[in-house]
Amino acid sequence: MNDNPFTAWANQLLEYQRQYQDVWQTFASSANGARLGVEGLNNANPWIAALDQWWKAVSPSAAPSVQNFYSKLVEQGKAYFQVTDGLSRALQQATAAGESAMRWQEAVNNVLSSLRDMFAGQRTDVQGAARQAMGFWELPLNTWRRAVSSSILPGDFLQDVGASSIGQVRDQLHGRVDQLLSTPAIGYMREDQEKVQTLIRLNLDYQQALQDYVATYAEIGVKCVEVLQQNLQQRVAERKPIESLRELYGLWVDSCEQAYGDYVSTDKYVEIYGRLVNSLMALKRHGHMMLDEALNAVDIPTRREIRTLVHRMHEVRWEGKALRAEIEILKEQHQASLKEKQARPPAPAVNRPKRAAAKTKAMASKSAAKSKTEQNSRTKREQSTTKRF
Amino acid sequence: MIPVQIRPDRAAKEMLEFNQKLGLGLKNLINIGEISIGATPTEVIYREDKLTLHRYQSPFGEPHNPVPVVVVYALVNRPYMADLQEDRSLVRGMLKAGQDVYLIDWGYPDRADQYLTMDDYINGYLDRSVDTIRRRHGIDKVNMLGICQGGTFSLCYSAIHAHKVKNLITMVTPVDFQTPGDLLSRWVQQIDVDLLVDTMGNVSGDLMNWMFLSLKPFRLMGQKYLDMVDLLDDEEQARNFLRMEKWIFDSPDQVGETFKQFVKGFYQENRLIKGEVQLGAHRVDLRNITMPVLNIYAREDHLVPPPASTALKRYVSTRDYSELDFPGGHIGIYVSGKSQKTVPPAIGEWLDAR
Repeated sequence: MNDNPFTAWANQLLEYQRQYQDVWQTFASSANGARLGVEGLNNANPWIAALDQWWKAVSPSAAPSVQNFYSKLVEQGKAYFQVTDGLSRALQQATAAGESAMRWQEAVNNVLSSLRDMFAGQRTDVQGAARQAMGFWELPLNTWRRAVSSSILPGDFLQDVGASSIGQVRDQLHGRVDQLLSTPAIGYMREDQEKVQTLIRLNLDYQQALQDYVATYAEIGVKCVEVLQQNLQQRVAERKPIESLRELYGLWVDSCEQAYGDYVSTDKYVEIYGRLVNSLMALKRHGHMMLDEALNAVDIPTRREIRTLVHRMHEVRWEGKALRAEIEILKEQHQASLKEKQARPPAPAVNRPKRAAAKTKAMASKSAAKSKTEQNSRTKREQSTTKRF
Repeated sequence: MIPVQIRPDRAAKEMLEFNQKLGLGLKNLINIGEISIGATPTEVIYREDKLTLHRYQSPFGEPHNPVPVVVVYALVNRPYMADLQEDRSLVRGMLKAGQDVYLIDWGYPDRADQYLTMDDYINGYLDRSVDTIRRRHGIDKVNMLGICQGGTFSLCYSAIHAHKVKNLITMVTPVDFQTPGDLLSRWVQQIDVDLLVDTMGNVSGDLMNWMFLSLKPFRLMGQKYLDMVDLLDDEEQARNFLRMEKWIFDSPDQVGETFKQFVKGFYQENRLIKGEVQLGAHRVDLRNITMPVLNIYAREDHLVPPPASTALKRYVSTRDYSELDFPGGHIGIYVSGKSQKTVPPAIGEWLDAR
């Protein structure tokens, strides 16, 4: 790899540092600083731009595996800058301006209430930049989207609709689609029409479940800000001020985990979570069924047929394994009994003639008795025949 | 007092240092090359379908315990976690403690395996692996060590085939699947598992990862990577981190039928402790476990909370039951420096004494 991007970038870092300090000081002394909005969280941080610029320059030279992993680091670095820079600047603006403790509390409350509004979706104007500013907040959702991206259907076509307006959009959409879906299916293609209608209904159900799931994250976000506030107050009580960005970031993560952990163990969350997974599965299954019909029409083996074959093959294989195991057991038993016979000591020779003689005598008397019985019965049969005729 | 007292110059310095570390770290990362996994050489003893039974070759000479121990790992994730690297290896620690160690690798199942049941795994693959070891050593019983879900499998196996297990060790093993604080259990209660498996066939490893990472998303998907940047200038530490990262995302798909049985029967209906698990012709009754049992759990386990594991003592009939409480998490119990010093030697001593 060429070192130039590193060198050039390193030379620029000092310049970024100077710019950053300028921005911070301007911000802190700003007359408007007393009422900070979340817009401030993402404003004028040259470090993020620097990171982006650097990564664009060097990433093509890295191997794909390194690129994937490093992208995560860069993304987290940006989230770190955004969260800590915004929060720290906002939270101590009063200090820089030499405000009283009471004024400081007010400033903190303004910042946190602004964050709460953002999570609650009441401030659509900040959806873009500020949501990005809270970057890692969306990690669970993004991971879900990636996990289910193998769906043949679009994942979440409503994801860019703001949280506050999602209910309205969804209702309108459902209302119109419901009208469409209520059209009675008739004629030769009736069944096909019904299947498409079901597919659309299932998709809407999934979208609704996904939006409800997204909405829970807005609620968790609000809780998270509340926990952060409590944790900050605790710091005051303990007289342990936060003196570094990393420390502030750690407190933010702790607050998020605490709020998240409390929320996701509630019945409400468990219900929404279950509905999210179940509605997606119902949608996918219906999609598979329709796909199977299309495959069947062009004489290609369907998913259902392949599953049947796999199931039968499984049964046959495991029956075979069971039989082999049984044969092994029988073999072992047979071998054991052979060994036992071989190992058995021979009977004493002196008894043999007596036994043989006794056996012969018994056989002879048995044979004599048998022949006598046969003779009697023959005589009886003959007598009987004679009588009949 | 004002709780946030970050000076602008300090903030700028922190960001500068972070960017510098990120830049230098990439140089190191590029030079690291391939990340190796598995520290101890093994010999393949038995194969069946996708299962491989390994025997570890001890660098410490002949084992002094004549009864080998077979490690039964979970179907979730890969078993090389037990032997991640030389200085973080449960297996190596056990070899050092004089044990003869075998390990079952279940492999990566695909669609052809989707109808494998727990009966097939436990009374089929596992039983044949145990028989192979018994025949090889000319012994009636082996020692068994089950990890996580593998521990639950080991319990089922030992309850059914008690005559083949001399001593049983369970590590971070769920027994009671509905204890308070078991988030994983809470989440799956409303999931229609029949529908899920009918739709997906096998359950994708990505979906499983999402569920596990969602237990602590901000720490596991965010903060962890930030902390990593601090380690990037140390090549060895970076290598360790990447090795762990590789393991975390090396998630085999879960066989549909077994997943269904496990989630429904164990998590949703908690049948194991009720004595209602049926595996083929066998009913699993934990009271049949009369051999000595060592139950190891992690105090800060977020996947299998301690009460889910310690419930075991109430359901087994053995008179020789011990517990080992490890001060760490679900993964730390295998790989942390602390665990290397305590867990494998404790296992060795416990086995040697029986």
